This record gives sequence, structure tokens and C-alpha cells, in this order.
Amino acid sequence: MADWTDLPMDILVVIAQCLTVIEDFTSFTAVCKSWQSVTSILKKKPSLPTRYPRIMLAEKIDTEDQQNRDDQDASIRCFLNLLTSKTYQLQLPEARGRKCTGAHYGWLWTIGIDLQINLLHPFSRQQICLPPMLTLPDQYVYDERFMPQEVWGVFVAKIVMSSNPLKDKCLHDYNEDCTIVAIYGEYAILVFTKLGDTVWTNISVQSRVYQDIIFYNGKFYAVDVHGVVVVCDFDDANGPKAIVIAPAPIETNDTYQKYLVESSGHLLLVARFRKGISLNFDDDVDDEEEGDDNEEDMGDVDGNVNVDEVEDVKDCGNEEEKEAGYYTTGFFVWRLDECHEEGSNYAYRLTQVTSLGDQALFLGSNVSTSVASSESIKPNCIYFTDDNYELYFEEPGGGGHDTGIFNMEDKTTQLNYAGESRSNISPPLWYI
Amino acid sequence: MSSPEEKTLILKSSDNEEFLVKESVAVQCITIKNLVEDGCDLDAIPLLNVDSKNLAWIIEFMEKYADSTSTDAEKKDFDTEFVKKPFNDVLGLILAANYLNFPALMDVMCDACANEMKLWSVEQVREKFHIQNDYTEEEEKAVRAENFWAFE
Repeated sequence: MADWTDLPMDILVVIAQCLTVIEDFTSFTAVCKSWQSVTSILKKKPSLPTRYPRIMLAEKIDTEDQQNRDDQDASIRCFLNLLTSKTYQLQLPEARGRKCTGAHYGWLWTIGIDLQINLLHPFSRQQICLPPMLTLPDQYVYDERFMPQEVWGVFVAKIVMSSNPLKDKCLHDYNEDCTIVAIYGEYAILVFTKLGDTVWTNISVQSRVYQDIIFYNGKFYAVDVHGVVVVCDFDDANGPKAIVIAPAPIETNDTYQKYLVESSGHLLLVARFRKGISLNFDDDVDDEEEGDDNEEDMGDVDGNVNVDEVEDVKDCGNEEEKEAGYYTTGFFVWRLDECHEEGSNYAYRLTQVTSLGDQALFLGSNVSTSVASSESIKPNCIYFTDDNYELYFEEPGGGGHDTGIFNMEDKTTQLNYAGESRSNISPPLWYI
Repeated sequence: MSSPEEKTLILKSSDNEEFLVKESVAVQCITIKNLVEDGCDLDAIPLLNVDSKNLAWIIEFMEKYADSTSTDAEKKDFDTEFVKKPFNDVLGLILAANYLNFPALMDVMCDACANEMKLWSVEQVREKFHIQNDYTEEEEKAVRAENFWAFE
């Protein structure tokens, strides 16, 4: 009978390198001191995905008080554990003053006033450089009054990867097959690069204002502001292009923010609607945006939804939220199914979906993800963060208030996790 | 005249059982390969740290991996079945693979071990590996605070 108490260090190192999520790695190092010494042999922590979603809170800096800004504080980012509601602090100087978004496989991407775009892993603090902002093909026309340093916070909207940028098990080598697609620029069009490239290359599109991208079944799909879904074709002889595969659903309009997410093996299109009114409770029912009119026309939506939602928000009782300019009131979900109808112009059609089953969607500035329900994650819900960067960039106090959970079953929205974490550049996001 | 590829070796386990293995298969274990290259002329190669139970499994694994007709998919299926062993046997094979310096087996077994360890609490890991916690209470608090990721 073998004795495991003195497993040779080289075996421990191999086992540690087989672990696939951060949580397993940190449990490993907490077992005993010799197991912990594996970290010094590996020289750095691995850049692994995480098992549980967390919220990465905004930077804790007082933008009014630059001079007394404590260097330490600005380098710390807090992560909120959904189960325990405890926050934990991580030293992350690489994120300081930068917009951090797009969590995927445990990686964030950041952009800053230096116009550099990097992938950053908060656990290992590893960074991978992507081609900088100025290599994106379609730039604004800059001059001495309008410099790129003014638009870095909004110029790149989303970045999605086809895989972990590092090769499995051999976590120091880049995965050369990793393709990265982004939405960028004045017209929110599509662009791509591969690890090791020095520039970004446009993907030819027929429309503009894309709002989300997802990598699903080996391909990149994107959705535009109208709700039209496209697939990216990288094999065309004339260069990469986007091909329409499904028309916009009739129940949506351009004011609803669109997302694409994979859930239970299907590709889903999700539309998020917000109210843009300030919360003046006496006359808010009259102050309706065009989005509300459309809601009332929807067969699925409860006619009393406006009143219920206002009451939900009232209960939050947070002074900051009452002054917020916009907040989410609901979602619609469609599933993309292959279309075999004769005479149809499209390969897919959209079917409205009223339940997510045991899954929960996590939407926002992260890569849209579906997670199985658990002790801390409710099924059939949509967890959302504030990703309305066009508005929060200018919003007093910054974005971050429009964060919460939408229940697909009773169609209520609970503003949650809002707290005091707000930023004009990098509000809270799901870290998955 | 027999060519080197057809040569057969006798491997002797720690409990004195003898196994016949083709040399071309056995040299996947670098320890054995080194012995052969150094001109070892013993009738049987004694493997003092590997008992017959483990040696039989290791030979089964070696023969599958040396088989040029088996595809990657078939090897994966084989691995999936091969690792379905009690945890103590998994660790036994890891130690044997380490002693014999057999990288392919080491990778598969360590992967299986890491897979088992998923979702184990720190206490469960200590129990399964018979490890004494050598952190003081203060040190343990510090480790847990630093590594909040693990502790949901």
C-alpha cells in the first residue's frame, strides 16, 4: 500500500498542471505547505477559467480627488462572490485606469489611454498584447482638437475569442488557432485578428451597429441593432464577410439591446429593453418611452408590468438609483432554429422562447454566457450588468446601477448588486 | 537473425512475477529504454517498485499506445475506461509511471487524478491523500484569504 504523504514534487507539479479551473488550483495549494510550493516551481499562477461567476466591481477611485488618490487602492479590484455576497480584493495594477470588460475563459480585455488593447487574466496577472486601437482599420478623422485619447473608452465595444488563448495543459504557449472578433468604431462594425497578428482586419458587413458576437459550433455569429443575425465566413476568396442567416424578429425594435448566447446547445437571441426615464414616481407611468408602447403590444407581456416594475425599483430605496437615467425592465428571448421552409431566404428562423429551463443567462459587457443553476444561481433567470457604455460614459456617477436579475417566469426585474460600484469607464461586469 | 524490433524482454515485478513484453513496446518507459541502451544483459529486468498488479496494467497501457493501428479516438476511449479504477489504484499507477519514467501514462493518470479532485474540499483532499495539515491556524487563514477563489 503506497504512501501518499510524500508524493514527489515533480508528480505534484504534473497533477497541478492538469487542473482546469482556478478554484481547483487554489484548493490544491491550500492543502499543505509542500503542495503550496508547487506555485513557486511553476513560477506563476495558471491562467485558468473560473467555475463560478462573480462580479468584478468597478475601480474604487474618486475621480474628483486625483491628487490624494492612494496608489494602492487604485490597483485593487474587488470581486463579489454571488453565493456569500462577500467581496474580495485582488491586486491588479494592470487594470488601473483601464476599461476592463469581456470576461471569457477567465480572461478580461483592457484598453486604456495608451490605446493598447491587452488580454489580462486577473488570477495569474498574465497579459497578452493584441494589436493596438490605432490598427483598427476605420478610425475617426483625428486632429489637434479631437484625438484618439478621447474615444478609447468607447471605441471598442466587444471582443470575443474562439478559444482560450493559451493551449490546453501547456499553459505557456499561445493557441495559434485562436481567432478574435470585435465590434468597434463609429459604426460598430466587425473586425478580427489572430494571436500574433499586428493589425486588425475588417469583416465585410452589409449593415452597421452590431451589438453582440458569440462563438458557437465552430463559427462566429453576430447580431445587429435591428436583430438581424449574421455568421462570419473566413473562407471567402474576397476576404472575410458576414452573411445574414436570420431576419430580425418582428417583436423587437432598435431601442432594445441585442445579445447572442448559447444555452442548452441552442443559439439564443436576447433583446433587453430599458426605460430611460428618471424615477419620478408621481408621473412616471405617463413618461413613457417608445419602448413601453411596444411592450404593451406584446401578447406575452403582462399589461400591469409597468406598475410592478416601478414598485420593484422603489423597494431598492437607493438614492443613487432614483437619480439614474435608465434601467432595464425586461427581456425577450428567441431561439435560432434551422429553417427548412421552401422559399425561405434564410437558413434559420427565430422562435420565441419563454423558458430557459435550468439555465441562467449572464449578459452585459462580458461574453454572453449560460450557466447551469446552482445554490447561488437561480434557474430561468437573466443576470445582467450595466453595459450601456454610450450612456454611462457621460452619466453622472457613471454606469453600474442598471444591474440585476430578470425572472423569465414572472417577468419581474430586481435591481440587485447595484451597491455603490459605479464608473464612467469600467462599471461592474460578470467575471465568468 | 532477429531484428531489434522483435526482441522480447522479461520484466519482473517486485513480487517476482515475470511478464514478457516486446522491447519496442517496453522502451516507452524511459527507465527501461536506458537500461536496454546501456547494454543490460540480465535475463529479466527487475522492477523493484512495481508490483504485479500495477505492472499488468502498465503493460496493457503500453501495448495499446505502441499499437500503430489504433487511432487517437480509440486511444481516448481506451484511456476513459482505463482510468476507471479506485482512487488508490490511480495514485499507485502514478507512482509507478514516475518510477518507470513513462510520460504518456503519467499524463493520463495525473489527468484522471485531477478530475477526481474537482469539487473536493481541501479537507477531502487531505483525507484521500492522507496528508497532515501543516499550516498553523493563522497561516491557514492567510492562505484562505489570499485564495478566495476556491472557497465558495
